[in-house]
Amino acid sequence: MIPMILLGCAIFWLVMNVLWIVLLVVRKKRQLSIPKEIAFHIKKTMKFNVAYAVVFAILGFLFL
Amino acid sequence: MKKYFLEDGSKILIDDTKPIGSGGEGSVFKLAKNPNILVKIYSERALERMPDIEQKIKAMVSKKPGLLEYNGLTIIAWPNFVVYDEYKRFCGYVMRRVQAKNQLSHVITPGLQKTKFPNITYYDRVVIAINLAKVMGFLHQNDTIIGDINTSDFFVYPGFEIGVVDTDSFQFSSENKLFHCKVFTPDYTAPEVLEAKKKQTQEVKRIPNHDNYGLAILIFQILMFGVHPFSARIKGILGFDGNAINYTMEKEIFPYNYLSTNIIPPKNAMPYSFLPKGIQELFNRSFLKHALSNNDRPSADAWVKELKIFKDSLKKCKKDKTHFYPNHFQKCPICAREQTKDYDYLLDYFKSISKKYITYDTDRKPVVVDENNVYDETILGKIYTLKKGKQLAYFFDSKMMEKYKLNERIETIYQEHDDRSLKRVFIYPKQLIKKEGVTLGYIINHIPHLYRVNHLLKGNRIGKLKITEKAKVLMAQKIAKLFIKLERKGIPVELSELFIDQHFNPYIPDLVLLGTSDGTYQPMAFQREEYLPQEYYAMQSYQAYLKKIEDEKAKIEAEKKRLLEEARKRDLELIRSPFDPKPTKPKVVEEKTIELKTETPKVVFEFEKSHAPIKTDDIIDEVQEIIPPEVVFNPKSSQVIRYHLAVIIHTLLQDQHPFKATHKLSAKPISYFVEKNIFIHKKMFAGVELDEKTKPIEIFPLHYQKTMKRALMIKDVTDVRRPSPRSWIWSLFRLRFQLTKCRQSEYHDYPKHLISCPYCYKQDHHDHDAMRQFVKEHHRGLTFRFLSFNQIMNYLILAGGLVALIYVVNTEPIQSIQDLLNRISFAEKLETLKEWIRFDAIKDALYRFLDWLMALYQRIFGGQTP
Repeated sequence: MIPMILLGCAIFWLVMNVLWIVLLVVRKKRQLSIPKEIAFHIKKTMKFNVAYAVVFAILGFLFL
Repeated sequence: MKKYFLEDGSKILIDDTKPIGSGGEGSVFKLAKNPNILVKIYSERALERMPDIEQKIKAMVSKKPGLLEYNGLTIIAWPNFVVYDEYKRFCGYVMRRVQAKNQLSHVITPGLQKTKFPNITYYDRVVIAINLAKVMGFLHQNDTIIGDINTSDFFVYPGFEIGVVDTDSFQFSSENKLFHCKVFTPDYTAPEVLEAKKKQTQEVKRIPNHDNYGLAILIFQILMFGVHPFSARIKGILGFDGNAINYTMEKEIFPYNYLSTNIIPPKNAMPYSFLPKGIQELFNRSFLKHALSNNDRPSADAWVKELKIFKDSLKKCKKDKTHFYPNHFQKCPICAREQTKDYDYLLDYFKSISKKYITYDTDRKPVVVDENNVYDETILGKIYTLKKGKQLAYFFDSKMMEKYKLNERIETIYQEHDDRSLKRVFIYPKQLIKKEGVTLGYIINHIPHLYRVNHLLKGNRIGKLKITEKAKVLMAQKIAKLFIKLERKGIPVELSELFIDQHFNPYIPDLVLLGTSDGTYQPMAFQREEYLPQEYYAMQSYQAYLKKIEDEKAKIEAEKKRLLEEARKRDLELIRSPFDPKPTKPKVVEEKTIELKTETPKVVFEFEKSHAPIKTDDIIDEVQEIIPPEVVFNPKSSQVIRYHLAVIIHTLLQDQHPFKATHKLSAKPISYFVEKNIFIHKKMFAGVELDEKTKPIEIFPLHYQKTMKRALMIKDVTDVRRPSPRSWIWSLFRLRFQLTKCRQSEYHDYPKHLISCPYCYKQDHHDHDAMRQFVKEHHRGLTFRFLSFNQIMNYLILAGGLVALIYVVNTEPIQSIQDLLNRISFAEKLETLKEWIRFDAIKDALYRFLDWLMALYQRIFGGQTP
């Protein structure tokens, strides 16, 4: 149960990051204007997402 | 030595080695035998330039004014004899010497005064001013105008008598000719003379009123320690800068009596309150716009009279015996000025030391009012402090009192002790102030830190505290709460009538705005243009329509009458006896009218036409025969009061009147937009632009926008439904909790639906369209919500994990956690992961995809793939 939750969380973050990447790509392609503040927060959140995903993935693996 | 001759042929010798003075016109020399007699010799050029000077001097010699000397002192250096050269050609005149050493500029200019006239007191200054006015008055009585007034033409004797020189430039009238004054000094010349000089090539005829202007400037400089009355600081980009005399003189802006705070007296000036009111009044009259003044500047005699009163009222300082000051001060203001010459400081300080106590009767016991200390000013009167106690005296403005019968009104309201439902808002009187049985005002309790809301809008400050946007919303909410009561009572209140205390509670000091419960006096409504709603204009158009119908009816009636009259005349004609003489028709003189036609030659010319259809102006009314609806406008109706509330809230939160805008780049009056029912904030009408100061409504949340739009734009003029004060309270309450603090400025609170502070952006971008674009881009949309979801989930998961960890560590032994971790080996974990992720299946899928690609390649290009 525990490893499933931990790995699930890691997958959640990875999925979130994929969505953010898609958004940023679409923004560039379609030339949508996203305020600088928001773009900054997105990038910051993506970094955190990756960090959490890695940590939770390792924990999940260890508790397998 | 040089020889000259008088008219009778007698010879005079002058010492031409050392001229006393020389200028553009010529030189002044001493007589060889008597140094107290001077001779002015014109230069050749001057004589060519002034062809009528000989005639003028001769006329002046023949018509001397009575007073040229006073106690052996020369007062006016008037021409005594005409001087000719050896060829009998005119070359100058003889005059008495003004023996005084000090020019008037030595009194006026502070630097020169210290060195040349060091022991002069303020009392002496007033004496000099009186003597100056006396001399000028004397000249005016003798049909002589100085014309070119300046500080170097007047000399001050040690006994403060005044001597006048340079008399040949005076405007002088002989029996048959007027000799103009052809020179002028801009700093002392009346604006109308300067204007006329610019326009005309001919000389301007001077009148005493022009001299009175220069005299007032000189007296001002004498009394105010050398500062020119039009010297001012003008607020520029970098704050107050420059001592602009030219600008203020040209525009006739007297900075001491100017309402705008953009132009104020210079830093080293003496505050105007230093002078007594009588003198102030004369200065105000002297420096008023000449177009309005109707040649009514105070004469030299008026100055003498008022200055004498001023001189007699001067008090001696106890600390420094050389200090004299006006008697409306409690302490010596000159002592304060010696310590600092800072105008701004002295302005405040003089308020604290100037007191003028006057006793008034009341219905209880007499009160002593400090008339020099105006506590505040309201729309209907002024509030003064009392000598003793913390109460205040409210005096009605005399014009307002007469117009609205305020004294009778307050007496009735004062007797109504029961109706005090609004006593938290209106400041009720304690006693009535009376003078000869007439009520002049009333005594009220002092409410500390009461500020006018109007003032608050100027610098976003109450007192010294700067207020935030959130505080403004709170203030608006409290005003809306007050309007519930006002609506019930039918009192339309405007922004200028509102005051607030430090807790933002609204107050209205003008109790007379209230009506009486018996209906004798209705609540007051001023009906100013800014507060007239759409109904008013609808009523006006309905009345115009009615008048038009009446006019048409009257026309029809007149036509009917005319036809009847004609028929009657025809009948009379038929029944007339053939023997009666035929009535002769009055001859009608035919008036020929000549039509002046200008024929324009036909030219083949056409402008290039655009393909774009020409847009018609949306605002321009289409000519339609629409019957305007019947509307009755009642200024005290609840809908009008609600309109007032909306205007006040808009002005408070959005910094400007809701209908202040421009149309097609030209400023239009407020009525223009109200009448046409245009909501200026939305781009519904082409060419309508907000005022530069206005905050666009898009900054505010949608509920506020809707409420404001409902209040300012009506759908049906016969059935107006504006939001009630309660709905405003609810909307403002919501707005208050929807505001968030700006990270850069502590005074900025912006609605949470924006991700960045619009007010910070507005500081750099004044364009409203850029602002709207900013609001559009920085609106919290789907991306922002998604981001918030991501961040919140992160925090939740981490927090949950932490809690679980704490729980597990506290409840489970370490051994069991270790067992859990080492339940299976590392290799087995890898295997499980592989199984779980199914690497084989992924590998197979990839291979299958590769095969499919190869097959596709073969099908398209054929042959074997490498």
